[in-house]
Amino acid sequence: MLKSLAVAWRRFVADPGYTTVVVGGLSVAVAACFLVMQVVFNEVLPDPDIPDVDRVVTMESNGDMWREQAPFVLADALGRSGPPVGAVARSLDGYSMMVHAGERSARLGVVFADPGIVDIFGLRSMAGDLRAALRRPDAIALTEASALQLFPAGDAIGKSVVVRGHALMVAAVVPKRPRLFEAAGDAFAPFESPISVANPEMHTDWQWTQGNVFVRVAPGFAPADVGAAAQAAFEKAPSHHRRAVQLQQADKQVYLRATPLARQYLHGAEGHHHATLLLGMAGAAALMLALAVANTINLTSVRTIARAREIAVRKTLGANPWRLTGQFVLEATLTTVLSTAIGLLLAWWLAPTLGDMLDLHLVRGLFSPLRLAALLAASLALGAACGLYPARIALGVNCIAALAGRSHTESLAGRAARRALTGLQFGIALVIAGGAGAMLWQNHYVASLESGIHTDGLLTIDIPDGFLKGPQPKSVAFREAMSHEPGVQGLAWSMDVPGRSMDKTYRTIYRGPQARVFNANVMPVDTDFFGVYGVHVLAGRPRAPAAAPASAASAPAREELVVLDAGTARQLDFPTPQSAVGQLIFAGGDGQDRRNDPMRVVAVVDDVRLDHAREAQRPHVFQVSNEPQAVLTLKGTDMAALRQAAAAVWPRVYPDDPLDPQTAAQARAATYERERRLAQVAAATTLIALLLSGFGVYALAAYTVRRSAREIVVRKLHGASRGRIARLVAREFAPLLAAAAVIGLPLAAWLGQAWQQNFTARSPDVWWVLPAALVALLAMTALAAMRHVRIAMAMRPAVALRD
Amino acid sequence: MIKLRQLSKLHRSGEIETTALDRIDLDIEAGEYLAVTGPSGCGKSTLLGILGLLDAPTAGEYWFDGTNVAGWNEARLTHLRRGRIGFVFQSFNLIDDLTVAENIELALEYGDVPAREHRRRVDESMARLGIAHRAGHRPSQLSGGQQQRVAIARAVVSRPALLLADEPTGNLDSAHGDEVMRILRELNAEGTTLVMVTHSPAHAAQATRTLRLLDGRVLVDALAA
Repeated sequence: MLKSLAVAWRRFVADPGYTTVVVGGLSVAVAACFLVMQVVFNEVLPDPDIPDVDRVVTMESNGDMWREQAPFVLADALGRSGPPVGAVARSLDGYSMMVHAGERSARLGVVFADPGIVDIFGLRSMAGDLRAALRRPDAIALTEASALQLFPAGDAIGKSVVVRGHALMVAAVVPKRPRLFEAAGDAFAPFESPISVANPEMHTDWQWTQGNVFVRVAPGFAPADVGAAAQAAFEKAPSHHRRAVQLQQADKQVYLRATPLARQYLHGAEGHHHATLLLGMAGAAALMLALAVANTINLTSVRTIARAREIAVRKTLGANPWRLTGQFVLEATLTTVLSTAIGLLLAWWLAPTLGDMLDLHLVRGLFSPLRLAALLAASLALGAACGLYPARIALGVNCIAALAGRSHTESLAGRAARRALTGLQFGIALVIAGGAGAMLWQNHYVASLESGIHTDGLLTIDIPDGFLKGPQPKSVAFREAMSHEPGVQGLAWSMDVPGRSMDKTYRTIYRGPQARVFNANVMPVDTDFFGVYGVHVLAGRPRAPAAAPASAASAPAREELVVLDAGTARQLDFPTPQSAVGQLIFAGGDGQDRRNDPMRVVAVVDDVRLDHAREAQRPHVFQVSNEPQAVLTLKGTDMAALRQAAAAVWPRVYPDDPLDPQTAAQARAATYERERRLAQVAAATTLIALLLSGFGVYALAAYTVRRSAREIVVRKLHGASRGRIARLVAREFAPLLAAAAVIGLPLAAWLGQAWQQNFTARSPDVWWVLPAALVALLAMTALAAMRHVRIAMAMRPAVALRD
Repeated sequence: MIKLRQLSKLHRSGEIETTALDRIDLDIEAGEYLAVTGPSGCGKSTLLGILGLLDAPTAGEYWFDGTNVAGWNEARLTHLRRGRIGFVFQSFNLIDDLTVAENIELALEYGDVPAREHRRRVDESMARLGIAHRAGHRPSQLSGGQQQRVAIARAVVSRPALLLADEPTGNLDSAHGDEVMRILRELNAEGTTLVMVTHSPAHAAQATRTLRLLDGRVLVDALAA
């Protein structure tokens, strides 16, 4: 066996073209399949580090749609309720903060959490006490990696760090990021911490759903019992809170549910998206594997035919069918094991980047013994499968003819099988190319939808604590300083970059007690916003209310001044934009509750489109106020000058917070980052599929020309032109391409349609990518076969007829 | 050693049937040196293939060492052939992915000779044929004469009782051809039964018996003068 392996290795080295195509194709396919396996292990299967994970649930809320977050006020209600609730804890994650330890600094993702997290998730400390750290407002816990970053000597416990101007004591070090917080959990702090970013309203309002609520189910109860308890708690909430939520839900009855953590990935709020992603990845990996295997079997069987003489010698010398089969299976297994090893390295190399792109945990456990064993077993099975067909060809070799130097011709069945495999390769390449093309086109369509705002020359800056209400002297100072910087031609406040898909503020609006009520996006902006973002004003003039008097806290609700977009005005039954200016509308509450917040319409602007193309478009209301907001937008013609100006001013006002400016275009593009990344992966998959098909066609064209040498020469002797000879070679592939088109194009169309179903805004002309994919496949085939067509056309009769 | 009785071989291709051998009767004794001659297409290579258990007759009997093997399947024929029959071909039929030593050892890999014996036997064969200094070379690095000597070494390393040679000098110049013929005579003199297909009257005359075929039938079966 060792000798056979040594000889097989020699053949690899002696034929680098074949080796590269076969091993390269299989490696890429193996890497793709392994990464899908990583998703299953790391995302779908429950976290093995959580004790009794089946009894841990995450609360999900159903406003406009199911979300993985739940109102924090629910945690308080459940905490008081007793069984079926065993333990409950909240968390709020993903806030990036600069943490200073003397001369050292690090940018860490801080998770705010309740002490109950420790018991629910079985978190352990490698130093200090995590539970105690989450009880003390002046404490912080670090992961081991973060602690070493700030305290390389490894003596972090008891040391002080400074975060946003506040001194905190390191009270615990945890060994690694728990899987649930792997995205941004470098440090942990309690909600009572002075650095907490939790909005105070999150603890009282059922509408605030920005964090997570986890529950450990009490013994003897089921997760559904916790869901029922949560819904009951919600039913007891004040009516105006419920009304606001229920209006978001339309007719939906259930607002809260408890999803077991062990099943959350595929059955939770984002289960549909996750399932789509997983199926898409698995489908792409399976197609690539099928393509690579078809290519391997095709190329190997052609080589087997060329080895007829060697096979005949072995049979003559006494190799029985089992030995012969074993030899070919062994050779194929060497190929697949080598490909698997390279594929594993490829997966290791790609996992971090791909994981970031698709927001998946792909690195954890990459080299675990169980997964490596599974991979090895799969590669051995694949080797056996790939070796059996060439072995069958070998067993059919006629010894006498082969030894006499007569070339072995493949049987009709063999030729049909080879053509079927080639057709399969074409079909798969077409499905992948067509599906990916539809994806790219749809993404391009949604990214270029007219939004009603203009982003050229705009730089946006997220302001620390910008969402907090009340006086913001730092924000005011920052804007004032920026307004004097050269190159800054305009500034504007807004709650968010318009169109960036962060959490939105929804409010109910209506014209009067009996009027229709509906949900709208309400975005606080200042009066400069419309000029800076180029939003066209159709009627009226955006203006802000006068500053509130000192006794405002006890005064009744003041009139808010708002700007509507034209579509919202129409929905409120204003016949023209002008007719809406100066009118009063109301927000919040219902007819029975006197808490109707008055809104005076001061202007109407052109239609804007700020919701994600996956969501139904809501009416937009801009609440005009000159108070600082969470985002400051700078306008100028020189981006570099704007960045420089911001970098110069920022440290003077916010020394403890990182500056992370983005152009408005970049911020808006982030809305479709997930789609863009998926499309990039799809495009890369398409390229690989086309290359694999191309290499396969190249080798098969060579075989076709070799096999048809005499026929080509005889035809030339009888006057066949070059074009006729070229058609002879093309004839080999034309029916296969036609069959691939008949089967592959409808499948590609279905894939494209399935992708478009994820969007409310769909491109009407995505169909053109199908013929484009076919043209690409035809071009690739022609290119791959061209060299051998030229050889065929230039064949010298004397040489061919002699051989 | 070998007895053929009314042995026939038909080749079928679609509706076309060709008679390659037509009711051949032939006896070959152990130690004989038989030359098979005849024009192209007379059935020489087919006869050699059947004698070598590479192919089965369509009709008739083939007694090999007292056993009628007509009607045996390929697996049984392979098992019987192993170690008992050696082959030398016109086009050498060496495997270029293997070295000279590995090509020779191939004949032992499928047989019953213990693995620890392989090296000694291969060295013996190479020394006998004068190619030991090329042990690590690939066939493509050898001359025609050297390649044929490697092929002969492979054919005899398992010490077969029967050696079948199909135009062993066909691709060689006269000097190398004479060298190969000398080696074959020596092997026969040591007791190996030798059946050789040849177009060369001079080489056929070196055999102790000549069989001339025509259209699948035995035309002449005569001892050498």
